[in-house]
Amino acid sequence: MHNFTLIKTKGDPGRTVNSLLAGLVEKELVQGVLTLAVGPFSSLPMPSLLCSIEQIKNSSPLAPAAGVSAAVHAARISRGPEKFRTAAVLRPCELRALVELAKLNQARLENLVLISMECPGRLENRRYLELRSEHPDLDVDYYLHPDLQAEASGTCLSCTDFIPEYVHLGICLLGLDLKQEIGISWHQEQGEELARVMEFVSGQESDSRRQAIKELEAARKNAWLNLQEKTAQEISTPEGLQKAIGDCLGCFNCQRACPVCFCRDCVSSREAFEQDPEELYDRGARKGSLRLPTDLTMFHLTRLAHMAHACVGCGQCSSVCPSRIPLADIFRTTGASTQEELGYRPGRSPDEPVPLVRFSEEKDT
Amino acid sequence: MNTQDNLKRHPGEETGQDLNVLALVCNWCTYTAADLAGVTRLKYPTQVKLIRFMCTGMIDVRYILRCFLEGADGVFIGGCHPGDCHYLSGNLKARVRIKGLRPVLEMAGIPEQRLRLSWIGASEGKKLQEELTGFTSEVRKLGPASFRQMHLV
Amino acid sequence: MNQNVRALVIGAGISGIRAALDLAEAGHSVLLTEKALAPGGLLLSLDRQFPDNHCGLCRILPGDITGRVWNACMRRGFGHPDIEYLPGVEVLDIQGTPGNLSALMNRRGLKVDPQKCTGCLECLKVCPVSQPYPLAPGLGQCKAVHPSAPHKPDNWLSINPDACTLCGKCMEVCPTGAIHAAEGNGPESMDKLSLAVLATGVEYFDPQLHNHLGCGHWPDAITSLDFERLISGVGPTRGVLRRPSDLGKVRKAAWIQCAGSRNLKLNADHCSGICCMIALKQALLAREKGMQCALFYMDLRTPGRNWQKYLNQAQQKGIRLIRCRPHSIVRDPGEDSLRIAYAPAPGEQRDENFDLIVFSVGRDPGYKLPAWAGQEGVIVTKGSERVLDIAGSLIAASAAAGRALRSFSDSCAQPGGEAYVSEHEHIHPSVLVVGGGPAGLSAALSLAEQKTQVVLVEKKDHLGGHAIKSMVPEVREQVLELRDKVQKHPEIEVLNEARLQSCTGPAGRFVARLLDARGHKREVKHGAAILACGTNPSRVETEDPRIINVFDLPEKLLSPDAPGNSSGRTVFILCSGTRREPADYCSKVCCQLALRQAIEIRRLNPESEVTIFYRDIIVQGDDEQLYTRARSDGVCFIPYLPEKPPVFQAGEKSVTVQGVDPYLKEDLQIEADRLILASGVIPESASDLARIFDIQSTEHGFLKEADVKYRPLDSVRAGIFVCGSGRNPVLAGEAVLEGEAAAQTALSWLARGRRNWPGSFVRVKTALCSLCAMCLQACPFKARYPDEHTGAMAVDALACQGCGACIAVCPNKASAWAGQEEEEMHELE
Ligand code: SF4
Ligand code: SF4
Ligand code: FES
Repeated sequence: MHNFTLIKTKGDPGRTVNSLLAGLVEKELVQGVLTLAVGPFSSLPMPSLLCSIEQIKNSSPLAPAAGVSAAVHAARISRGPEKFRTAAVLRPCELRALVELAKLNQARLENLVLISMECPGRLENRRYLELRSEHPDLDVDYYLHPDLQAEASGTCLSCTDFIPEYVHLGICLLGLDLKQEIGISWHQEQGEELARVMEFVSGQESDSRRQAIKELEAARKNAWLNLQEKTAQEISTPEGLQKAIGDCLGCFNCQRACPVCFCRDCVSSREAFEQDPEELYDRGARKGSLRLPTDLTMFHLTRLAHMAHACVGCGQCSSVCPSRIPLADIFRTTGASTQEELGYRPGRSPDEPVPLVRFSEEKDT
Repeated sequence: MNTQDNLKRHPGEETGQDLNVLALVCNWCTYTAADLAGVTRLKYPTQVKLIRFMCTGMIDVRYILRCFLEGADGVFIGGCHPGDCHYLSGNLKARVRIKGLRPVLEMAGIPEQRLRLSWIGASEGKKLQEELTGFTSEVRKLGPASFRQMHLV
Repeated sequence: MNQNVRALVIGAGISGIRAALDLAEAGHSVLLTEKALAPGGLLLSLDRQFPDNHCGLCRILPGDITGRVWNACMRRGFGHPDIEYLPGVEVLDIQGTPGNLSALMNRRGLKVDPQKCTGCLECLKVCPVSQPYPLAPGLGQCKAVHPSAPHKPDNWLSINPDACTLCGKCMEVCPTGAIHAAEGNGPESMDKLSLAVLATGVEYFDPQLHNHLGCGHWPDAITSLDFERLISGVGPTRGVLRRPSDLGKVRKAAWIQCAGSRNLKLNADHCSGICCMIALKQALLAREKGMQCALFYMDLRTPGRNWQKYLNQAQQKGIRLIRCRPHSIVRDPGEDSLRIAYAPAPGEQRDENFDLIVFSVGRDPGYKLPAWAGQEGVIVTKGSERVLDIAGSLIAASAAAGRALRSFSDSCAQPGGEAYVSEHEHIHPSVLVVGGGPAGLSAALSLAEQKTQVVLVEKKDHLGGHAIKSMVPEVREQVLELRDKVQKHPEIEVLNEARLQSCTGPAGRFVARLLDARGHKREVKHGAAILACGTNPSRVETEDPRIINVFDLPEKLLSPDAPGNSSGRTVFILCSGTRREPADYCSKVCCQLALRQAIEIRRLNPESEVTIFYRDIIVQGDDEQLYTRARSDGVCFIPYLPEKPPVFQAGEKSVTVQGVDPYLKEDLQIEADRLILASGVIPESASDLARIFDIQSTEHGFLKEADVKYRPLDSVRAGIFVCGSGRNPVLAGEAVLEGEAAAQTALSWLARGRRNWPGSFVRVKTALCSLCAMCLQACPFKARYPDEHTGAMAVDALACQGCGACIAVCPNKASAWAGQEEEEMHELE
């Protein structure tokens, strides 16, 4: 790859990224930065819109956590008029979600500088806090110690899409000595433009980097295949599905946390709470008893039917489920086959049309 | 709208039948074929209940899910041949949607043989009969769907 | 609603139904008579039609979702509140003056009351008559009382009055007394008719009567009409192809083209126009069932934008095309199949056996219109003069409806008036016509003569298009006359040298922005637009004055100093730029032009030699006579294969043309003084128009209609219509007809604005809509648009046809049925 350069880190890759982001604002390329930051009152790094250089320099763009998906917020911010241009630092999965949202008119990519990183995975929120109490420098240590990375969420550990695709600036972390340097790659016209202004000098990528990527790919792929198989085996029977979602509370957290679920008000949440007593009795009488809230199977299947093709595999649904339902496993497994059926890869490019309204004129089949 | 009246009939209600097969058919072609089958005395299985839609393109995937969850053992969707849809492309949309739905049904443990999409033109009363008969016997081989009795979450 | 027009439409085939619908939708009351019982005519026996090999008949219905109009497959029935359908009625005579005609009708024979009939079919057992089955005379016999149409229930019986002996046996056995002499049986007169449209269609050639190649003698040699029944799922064999003689399976079938057409011996110097396509379709359907198919033909006529592709498809699917007219059919003793003997080249004898032989029949050369068809006030559809395909028949029918109305336009319904659906949704009672060629001119004039305001925009500085330079004096005169009338008509504003820039707004309230001749901006509000852009000749790239584009020839032909005019050799190469990619369509106009020119060259100079290299001479109808004439005038015709087109080289003395002698299979060289190339036409402005009006265009850049068979002049957008060569190459006369038809279609649409329209069946719950625009992409009729005021999607009630695609695609049901909650749709209990 030609559009690649190395930047010295002086021990803290996060800080290097910070000054890069600050540079974007200083050079007036963007008005603000959306990235993770620990606020004065929060303990978790949370997506934040940072406008002051000082705040940007204190942010944690590489923190291995994602309290919520930043995609939704990037989308919202981008919907303003042109004068608000934002640099959004997103994980690859968040970036894919953002691209999906853009296709559905929920985001305007032209108002964003898209920055993403090679992602070794994120920790679940609780686990992040626990580990940080042991490793005060967790945001740096995480990248240096493979055993810390092994603590990442199950979804991440079986994620094969850890390299961002539709991006302007990529932060390269794999196969590098991050104490010394990080890599920056740039893509598309916008990326070229940024590289010119930021005066990046094209350099060579090392073999060790390529090797590291390959190794990670292999390990992830293996984990993913195992997970798929396990999910298909354990869940895809009527009983299996009932067992899996048996403890669903009907809190709709999964739907709210899902970055690609874009409806203003989910049809299922309306449905589950709009039945009148007569109806409930009627249904109860038919089967002897009625689980409340009702229609949760319908809810989950609807969500699958609506969103499986667009599932970017971020794992937020599993992370937020109080009943620990392996929602992401179900979604990703279903999504993989739906996406294959429809020849669709969510988040690859905003020019790839949403499959459910794209139909072939082909007469037979 | 008579779709609604039709939908109101509960597929799981006691019909004395071993199977509940729902056929969601388009008003223009397949329904005409069914009419024709009736007229020309071509019998199709009594387990099949026809539900008329204006077009297969208006069949929300949620209707299909609902049919299964409420106890259908098989769902048959019949529409105009590609190129024939009264609304130009409704059938093509149905085709994509159903393609995308199949993995969801699989995850729910509903084998793909329980959902069939078929194009039946207005003059194909014979094909309607064959398709419905074939479909019903395939569903019979699978036996009643388990969602039918199950106490669902 | 203005009901002072009382129209009579004779014949309830698709032409008659179309004309009746056009009249009724424009707000007039219509009587529709049909000799048979069931409406549908020939279409009742055609289950599948080219070019998609499926049906789609229902799409001729007006897309009215208010429930006034029949809204299901027309094979099951038909109804419209303003159309009174009179089955079993034959019109014998029409007299009077336009505006006050009276018709003599005959209600014929016995009738079976479908209300009383139980379908026990006792009557069939006692009826002593045996007649050829009306829908498929070659496929056996039936009683005088028989099911009325393939799709009709058993209690829909007809009695063929021509076969019925009035013996009364059926009446005796009928348990419910359903059979009775029709009330008012016998002649009856109907007065005070404003106008009449004759839409009975033509009669088809019966090869049996002429003992054509032994047809009639061999049961397995049938007509193409019989074949339709044989392959129909509701036909006598339920769609399994069997030999009529012994019900043996058909493995091999042959089609013999031009039975009763293009035959001077039968006095049939015409081409029936669509039999080639019918044969290709039938062969394709048979091929689907695994049959081997061969087609014997002289020229495969696939004129226009679409049919070349169809032919390619047939060839890909393995249908054999044999260019030759078979000379005999025999059955060898001991064989089940028939043997066709033919001579593909002089002196080369071949024969081959087939299980089934199909004669492609067209218009009966003896067919004549009834005498009263010439009566003033009676308009005859083109489809009753010659055979037309479905789209052609419908176009002709709409045009006829328009002509009929114009024949006494004073009492016609007045557009304007209370043109309201609701306060917000009226249709602006005016039409924008784009393009001032024959189609545009005739559309503008028909509209204006029916009191509709028209703005006609034309790119060039004059009206009339290429047709004003036509070689055919009648065409020139017709177009010039149209032009004069258009220029003088007070309802028409002509904008020459205008450039269209955009057209926005929901259906019926369009606003077009354009620059006029002086470069000033103009806004034109209109309720409908007719896009009638034409085509331009494709260029022939050469400096050599001896190499001429067929479209430039007329002028050069008339000038005395034109090269090679006095003597010498002229060579034409037809299809030199078309019927192969990147222009894989037929331009339709070149063949007849070349024939006319060849005849003219020979007339001007009997010494000269004219040679025409051609793939297929594609002329239809009576233009066949040009072909006949050219041959008898000594023009030499040499067919070539697309893979081996003639090549030419301009030398000093002559242009050398090199081809292949089709019979000797040898190279052949002609030193020509003049080479004329038919390079075809290209739709230059069509794709721009398509973009401006947000409709589709084809891969070759033609305007695309909503449905190539049944809605040929509608676009997918309500209120936007297409016609003329920019849609599909046509001759000038046909363009005029299309213009009139488009005008009529537009008028029906404008009339919708005067009716009480209930609003759409779908609505958008604005608070739920996230503007994802999935519905916008799913709506086949472009009836949805983002509404700036609500910040949500909105539905264009007048364009919506209630298909529900938007609802199915909307994930959270922000898009919903108007009268219904989503939850109700799911209430299965
Ligand atoms: S699909 Fe539904 S949510 Fe999306 S724009 Fe249409 S009405 Fe609104
Ligand atoms: S998609 Fe919706 S708006 Fe468009 S025609 Fe169908 S029902 Fe009407
Ligand atoms: S109308 Fe039959 S599928 Fe659309």
